[in-house]
Amino acid sequence: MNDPIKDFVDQHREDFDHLEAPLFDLAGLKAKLAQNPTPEKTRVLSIKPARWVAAAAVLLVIASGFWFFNRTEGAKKPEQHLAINKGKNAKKTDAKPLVKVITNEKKQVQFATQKAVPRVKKYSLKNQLPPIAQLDPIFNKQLNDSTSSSTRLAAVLAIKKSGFISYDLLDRLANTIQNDRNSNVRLAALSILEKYQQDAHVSNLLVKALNHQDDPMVQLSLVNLLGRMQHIKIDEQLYALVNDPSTMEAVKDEAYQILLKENKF
Amino acid sequence: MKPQLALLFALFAITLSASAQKEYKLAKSSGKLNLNISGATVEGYDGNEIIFSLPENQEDEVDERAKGLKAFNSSGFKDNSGLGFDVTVKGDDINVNPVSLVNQPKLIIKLPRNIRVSFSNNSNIYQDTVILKNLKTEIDVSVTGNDIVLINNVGPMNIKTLHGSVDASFPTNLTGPISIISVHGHVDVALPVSAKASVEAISNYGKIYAADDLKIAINPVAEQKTNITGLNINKVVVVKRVQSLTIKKTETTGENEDGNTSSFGDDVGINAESLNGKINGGGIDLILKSNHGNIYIREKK
Repeated sequence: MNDPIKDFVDQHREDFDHLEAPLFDLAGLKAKLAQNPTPEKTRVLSIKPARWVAAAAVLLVIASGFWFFNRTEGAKKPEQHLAINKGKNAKKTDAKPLVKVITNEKKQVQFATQKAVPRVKKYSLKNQLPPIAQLDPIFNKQLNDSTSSSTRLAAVLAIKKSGFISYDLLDRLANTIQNDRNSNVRLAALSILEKYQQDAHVSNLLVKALNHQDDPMVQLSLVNLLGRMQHIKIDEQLYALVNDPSTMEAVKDEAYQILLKENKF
Repeated sequence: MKPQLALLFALFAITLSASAQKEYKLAKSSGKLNLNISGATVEGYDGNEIIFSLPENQEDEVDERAKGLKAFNSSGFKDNSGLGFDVTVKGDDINVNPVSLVNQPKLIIKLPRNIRVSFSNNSNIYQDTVILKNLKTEIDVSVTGNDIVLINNVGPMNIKTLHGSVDASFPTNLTGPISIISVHGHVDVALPVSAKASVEAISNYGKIYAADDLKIAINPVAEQKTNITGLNINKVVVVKRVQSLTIKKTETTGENEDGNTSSFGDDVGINAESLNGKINGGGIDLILKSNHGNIYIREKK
């Protein structure tokens, strides 16, 4: 075949080879290297052992302080019971405190304000206990009845209807959401926690429930609920759900929608 | 010609009924029947034994080589009923498991009324309609894709299906609580006009329809403490013989707290329709949920 470029290269080969490699000059190279300045000295920070101890002590104080305040902020005291103040004030949207703490001596306001949510009262043990104290053992027994899912569902619905709740009971309901063998019971328990979603402890319980949830139906409801709660961040959990091949499609769709809504996907 | 035809038909009918109707009986009048099979028809009756049988038209291929032998499977279940199912009694529990997942015949079970029923099927492939009728004790159904039909069961009932639908027809003397939930299917319940119930129906993406004759008294919104922000009162479109109900509709306001307009608004799916009401002054708890399907509450004819 006639290749003009090949012909051209063949004809002008000598013209291309006009450059020659310089001879290797070892002495010159050594001289150049010798001229190079020595590398800069690196600064070494030396800390005496006493300073290490001081730093560790400061860290310890900060850590224990953080732990202590975090613990009290959770405000989980078993002797305190919540009761819904049914009726007129339930729908008010004005800026009144969510939770009132009533003690024998004085009344004091505890929680910060959010938008309209059911107002709840706290009772101290010294006060007359609300009916939940009497109902609690019955609820507990029924909630743990492993033989009948209907009994457990009836117990959850009875708690819902009674209008009284305690943090202890909320914890047990969170446990039900996590471990009950029946989805219907789990969802009923979730509907109670949903009522108190503005409470810091309850919202933590809800996020925890999503972390370990294996029931697609409950996952759906939890994603839907937590997605609506503006102050809760569950992006990591949502990413985990959508990337998990075993997650049900409907749950993935719900998670995608929330991520899309927040422009995070 | 006609008498011959009639005779032929009668003979055919007799041979069919005689050849089919395999049965397995188990003397038991209390306890709990746990069905881990693809589908079944369970009917309550006044008797003292559980009668398992196969449909009359069930084709039965006889393997001559297997005569005198029993079918086993890897889970250790063996065909001890002669119907292709392992029936084992363990204390109060009567467990029924298939020996072969493939080609499971649909069991027909006649059940003494005092025995509770639990039906469970997590298979995505092998699923058949579950029919439960005339039962007077607790029913527990948890399935992935089966459709469920409930006829004249007293309750209490916990029914869950992910992809299937639920059709129920209730008697007057109901025992609660009754909870029926589905993700993708519809939930259709028929109640007698005289039934007393407190209804809670929620559909995330579907609609709720209710019959006029049931006269559901909607609870005041103030009592519904959930989803208080962004409330809208919404009229629901209804079809023939069903009343238009005022239903609380919760939806996102389209704005975040910081005032930014969200990019999706109502289409984001946080758009649930719910109905909380009492029939005849309230009574047993009736919870109906469907994430993507419609909910129908109709009068039983």
